[in-house]
Amino acid sequence: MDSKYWQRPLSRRRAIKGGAMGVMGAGMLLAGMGCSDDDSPGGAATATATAGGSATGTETPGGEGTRGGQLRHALDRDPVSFDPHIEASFRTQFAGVGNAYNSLMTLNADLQAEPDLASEVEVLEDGSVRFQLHEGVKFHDIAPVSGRVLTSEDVVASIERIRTDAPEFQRAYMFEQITDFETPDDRTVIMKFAEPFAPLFNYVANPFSAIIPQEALEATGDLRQTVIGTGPFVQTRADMGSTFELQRNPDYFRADRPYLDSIRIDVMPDASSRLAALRAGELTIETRPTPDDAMLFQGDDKWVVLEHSQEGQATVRYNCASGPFADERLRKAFDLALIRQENIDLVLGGQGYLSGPVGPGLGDRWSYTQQQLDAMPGYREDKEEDYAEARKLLEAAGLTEFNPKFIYYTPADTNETNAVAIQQQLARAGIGINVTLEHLDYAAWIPQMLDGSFEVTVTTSGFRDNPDEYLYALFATGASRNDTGYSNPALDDLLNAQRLEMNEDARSELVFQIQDRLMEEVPNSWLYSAAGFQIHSANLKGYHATFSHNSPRQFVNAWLEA
Amino acid sequence: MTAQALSEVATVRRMSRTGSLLRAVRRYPLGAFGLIVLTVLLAVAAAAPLVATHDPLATDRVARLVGPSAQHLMGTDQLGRDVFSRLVYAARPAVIIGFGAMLVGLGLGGAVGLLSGYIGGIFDLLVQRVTDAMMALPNLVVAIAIVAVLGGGQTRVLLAIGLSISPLVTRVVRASTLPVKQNDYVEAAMVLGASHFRLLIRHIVPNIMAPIIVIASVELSTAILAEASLSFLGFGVPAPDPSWGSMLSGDGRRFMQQAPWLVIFPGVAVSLAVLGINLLGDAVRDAFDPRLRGSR
Repeated sequence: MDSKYWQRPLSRRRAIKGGAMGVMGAGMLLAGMGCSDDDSPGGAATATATAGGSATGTETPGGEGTRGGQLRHALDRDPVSFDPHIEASFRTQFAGVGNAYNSLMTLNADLQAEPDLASEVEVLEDGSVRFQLHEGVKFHDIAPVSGRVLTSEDVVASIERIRTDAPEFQRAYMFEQITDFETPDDRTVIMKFAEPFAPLFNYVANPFSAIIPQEALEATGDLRQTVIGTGPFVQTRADMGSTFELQRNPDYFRADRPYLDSIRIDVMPDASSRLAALRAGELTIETRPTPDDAMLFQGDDKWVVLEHSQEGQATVRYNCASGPFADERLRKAFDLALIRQENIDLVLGGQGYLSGPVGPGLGDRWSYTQQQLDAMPGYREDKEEDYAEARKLLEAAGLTEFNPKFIYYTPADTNETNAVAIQQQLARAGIGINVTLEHLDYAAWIPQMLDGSFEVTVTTSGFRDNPDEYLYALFATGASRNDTGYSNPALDDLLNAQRLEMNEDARSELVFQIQDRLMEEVPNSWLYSAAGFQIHSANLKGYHATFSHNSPRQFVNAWLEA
Repeated sequence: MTAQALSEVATVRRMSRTGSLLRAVRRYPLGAFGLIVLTVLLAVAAAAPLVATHDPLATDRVARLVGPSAQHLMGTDQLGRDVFSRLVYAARPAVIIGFGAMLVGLGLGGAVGLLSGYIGGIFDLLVQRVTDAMMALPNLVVAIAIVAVLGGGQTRVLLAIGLSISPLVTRVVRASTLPVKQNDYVEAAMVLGASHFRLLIRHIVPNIMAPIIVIASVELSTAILAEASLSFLGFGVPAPDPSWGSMLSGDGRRFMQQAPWLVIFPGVAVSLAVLGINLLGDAVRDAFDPRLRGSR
């Protein structure tokens, strides 16, 4: 890849293409399961996807890096905890998990799943998948694990824990298709499936699919405060509200990594303070600047501004289970009055993309194109037809005035800006919908989402690296992340079908059928997907931007030039 | 007295009032400036719909972060909203919360201080220790703690600020009550059988009005500043309604470099209002202080 790729000015088409390649690469790997007649262009295949259905570990071109130095970063607030199987925030990843743990595979900056703890991945004749672990991988030298060698039993215990059937384990859907495990020796894990499972490699490579030592879990009951992994850095400090620090792991199984001696993460709630600290040289990198902030650093050779399409979606979420928005007509009327491009312009300074249910970062194989979305009701520029339709829907629902309570939480700046913009859009539409905004703290917002007492809200969720996470996890009946209470048995069938479909073309078709249904029934209104930006000092080398959850893992290949 | 004579007397009185005003302005020019600022603030708050040039809530994606111009006198913010109009409308919460909190502070703190000074003894001791404890904490910290418990919104913020400024009023009113209650006319009224309520309202309160008026002006500026501070910290007036504090935080701070007008104008508004009210308060204090009355 062009080394200047990330420094070129933003192009919507280019950024989306980048995201598309990664999923296609994962798809190619899946072709090895013998269940696919996929004829995707070979150009998308990478070293991780070899024709024989096996993949060998690849190393980022090394040797050029310089050892030493401390990378300094800042978070807006503390992670809730460090349990990789429970938490879902990028803060958890940055403050420890992302660099202290490994997964069996890992997603590179182009979203290609590469072997990580696994030195080999092979799809067997019966559809089982065999993971061969690297030899001599050691956990961190912290009691009670004390540097013991990783075994296949640790892998099984970790995956079993992720798929625990309990509300706090939000990613159980990732591995629920596994029927059995086999561990023929200490370095081999075989996952058994009744049917092929299309998103497996994405889920195995997910940054939250961390492999943990069993005895650490047994000793503490959970991993909220305990961070003992096999990763390139060892967490040595975790002062909540203040500072987190990770030191280089001298026993890391890739002897030439990491280059950095340490990573320090400070808590700085204020975005302006983080940018000021970056300018003052107190921080090396800012990973979540707004597009407007990023623009301030562009063109200055002291800084590198990275941009990518792998950012989260802003969505309006309706309570589909109870309250006024259980009526599909009211959801659609609300949706039709929205002006998405206005949100992109006002909130992101134009640096974003229209989005359907599957974010545009996954590319046209899985997501609607911008041109398709531009022509859709609720998305098109000419709003008169939308407003007329919205009035009809309200009338059919027996309402002339509709005043829902619209909650949002801060300190996420974009939530408030989106909420205010939507309030104005609805008022301007003159269709009889006027929202009352209610600002809540995150701690007050979450319970309303969990107990289903909210009516409508706006939030931004993180980037998902495969369509199953955008669809099954959010809209399957009873799925762990389905917080809108949406349920449609016919859609459930389609959601399950796409998980089992190994032919990428056929799966893509199913994914679009699902999206068509969702666009019709509007459990969410998808506003936009932001362009992701990161800013780092020019002396940070070897680092590639990716989505927030996955970015900390890219520090393993980064170094600081003197 | 003839009609002509009555007219002459009225003219003399009018000239006398005008003369007094001019003398007061000459004597307290800074106080006069403060009075003008306060008057303008009240007028702008009352006539905001007439003064504002745009709807303060209307977004405009085309006019996002546009600098000051004839179309937008003080530019626009991130959402394309007219900063001048928002500044004008933001005078309303400043005035409502400022005066409201001052009245709450005066009412609560004044009543407690009056009773504390009048009753004395163990009651006075206990009240003053509680007052000491509250005064040990900065006003804003107390206000934030109260808002955290009560929640945000204009009324709650008003109450929180009023409660937070009441200890100072308590202290001032108590200190003024102590000497007044020992005056002969109070004791005479007591001997004649006046009730405690009558003693307090008819004989003590009128004689401690001077320090109450002075402390009112001080607390008004404190309350306006506290409102701006709470809104700045996100505890004050909720979005999308404008307040000077929230205009300074959020967009203001984020875009300070590329759109400095977002912080300059609200900053000037807060500073001017607080400065003006403080100058007026100083002048009032000087006017009521017998030691300073003949010194100019």
